[in-house]
Amino acid sequence: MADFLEERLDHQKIKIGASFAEQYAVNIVTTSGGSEYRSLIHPFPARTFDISQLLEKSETFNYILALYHRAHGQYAGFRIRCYDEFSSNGSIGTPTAFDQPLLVVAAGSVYQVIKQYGTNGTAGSAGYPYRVIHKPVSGSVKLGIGTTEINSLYWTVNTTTGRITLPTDNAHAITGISKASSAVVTLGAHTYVTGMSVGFKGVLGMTQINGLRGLITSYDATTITVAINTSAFSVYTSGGNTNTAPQTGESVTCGFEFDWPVRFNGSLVIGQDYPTHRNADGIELIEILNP
Amino acid sequence: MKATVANYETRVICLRIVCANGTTFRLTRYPFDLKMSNATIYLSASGYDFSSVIVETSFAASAIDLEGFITTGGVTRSQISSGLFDGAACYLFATDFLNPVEDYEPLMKSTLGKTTLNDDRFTIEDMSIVDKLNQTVDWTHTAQCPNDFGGQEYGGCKVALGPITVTGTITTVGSTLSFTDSSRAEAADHFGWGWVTFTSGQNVGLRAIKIRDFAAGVFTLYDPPYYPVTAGVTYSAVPGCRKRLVDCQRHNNVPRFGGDLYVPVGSTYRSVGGTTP
Repeated sequence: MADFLEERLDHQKIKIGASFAEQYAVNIVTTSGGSEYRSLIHPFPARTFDISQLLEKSETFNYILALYHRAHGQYAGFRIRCYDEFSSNGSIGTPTAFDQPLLVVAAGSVYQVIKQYGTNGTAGSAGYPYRVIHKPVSGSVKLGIGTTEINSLYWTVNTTTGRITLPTDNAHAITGISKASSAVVTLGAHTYVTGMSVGFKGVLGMTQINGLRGLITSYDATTITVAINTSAFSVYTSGGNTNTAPQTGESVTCGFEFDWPVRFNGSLVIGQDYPTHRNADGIELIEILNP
Repeated sequence: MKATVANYETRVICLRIVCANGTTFRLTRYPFDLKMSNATIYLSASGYDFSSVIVETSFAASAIDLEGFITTGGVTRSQISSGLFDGAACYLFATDFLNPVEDYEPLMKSTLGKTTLNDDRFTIEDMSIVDKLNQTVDWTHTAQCPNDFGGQEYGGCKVALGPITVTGTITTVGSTLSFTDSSRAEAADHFGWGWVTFTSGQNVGLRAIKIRDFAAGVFTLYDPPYYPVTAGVTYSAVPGCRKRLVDCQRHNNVPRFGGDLYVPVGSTYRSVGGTTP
């Protein structure tokens, strides 16, 4: 795989005058009778950026030229931030833990960050298109399981691949659940701490709690207190488990800001207009689908 | 007609290569790895492409060229150079990338042929198994036996190789082409034109190498093993046959000797009946 620099093109250099174009890989065959047969080579959008308008000052010129050399021209990729789209929440909204679904790489442990498009309407037979997000911005990623945001202490994200990894499932058998505004769950000896979230399954009696997930607000040697109001639930009788990893039926979602993995798409042509000014046209960056 | 046809609107082509030693490579033209319904993963990491995909419906042999880049995550230079792909079976199929199913629409079954290494790029020529029907099946009379040693086909050699295959351990290495197993007590030339396969060390799983000579425990090979062998490496050796009557006598197989020792050559029968005009 070709080199990737992991540095972000200074957004001040492309903020004004930049444009972009979005494109899909569609193959169209038109018969002599006029019928058209369209096929989708793959469902991933690819974006191209034009940053030719902002290289007027020699300072900018020097910066771009240095990056062009570091990247060996078209060889290596690098990051850019697109000011029209950098968030999982719409285009520029503040990310929440429930913005986007995740692709399952290994159920319960490894997930790939993606961003879906066109979800404000009904999808066609090919489903909603999505972009595989390889370059989420460090510190911006949030993770949700069900309706609970998961503390970032309990998972990791690789900001060079976009993969989220959860630790091995921490499961314990339940021996009691109280009816309270914050339920106290009796487990015996356990390794849970405040801030973790646990899901419930297999509980008998208080069946309403099955499938729910709650944050642990306090704990002692044998019990945990979770932020689930069980006051109106049935009485616990027996059985059940708590799990930290997502269980079957629980949605796993995320929110993030992201950079675009791109590369130069041609030679860098610089015009010398004035001693301190440089003009450059036709500098195109193209998105790398699999950086 | 095919039983199933992938939807042309969302069609993707995949290739599975099954090497003679069982190693399997799964490749796809899709830009990301593709997980099939049976949970097998088809890799896109090495930038494979299948050019010249020609699929024939007649008895003409179909052919594809598989091109790819040698990378750490995909096919390696050693795998190609060591002959791992020689004679490997190839299964080309199309499927729907929205619901990928392995072997959904089979396009071609083939055998890998000539492999070309060009810097960090390789090309493997791939011929459909229909090509096997193009082989000449005429009978040629020669003094040498035309049968494959150990072949079990009708009218073939029929010598069972299993019971006469031996295993051993290399005690010393003479050169890249020869090694010695000092415990071997077989007569000289017992393994001549036989085959040796290494069962430990780096050459495990690679193709068998033809034995040129054998005498006093020393094996001399026609080709050097791809990775150098060392003392302690184990091997499996099949005795050879140099296609002579004496070889059949050695294996008690004279009735199946396929050579024609007594058919006169042209100069013999032209010399009878007078002087040459």
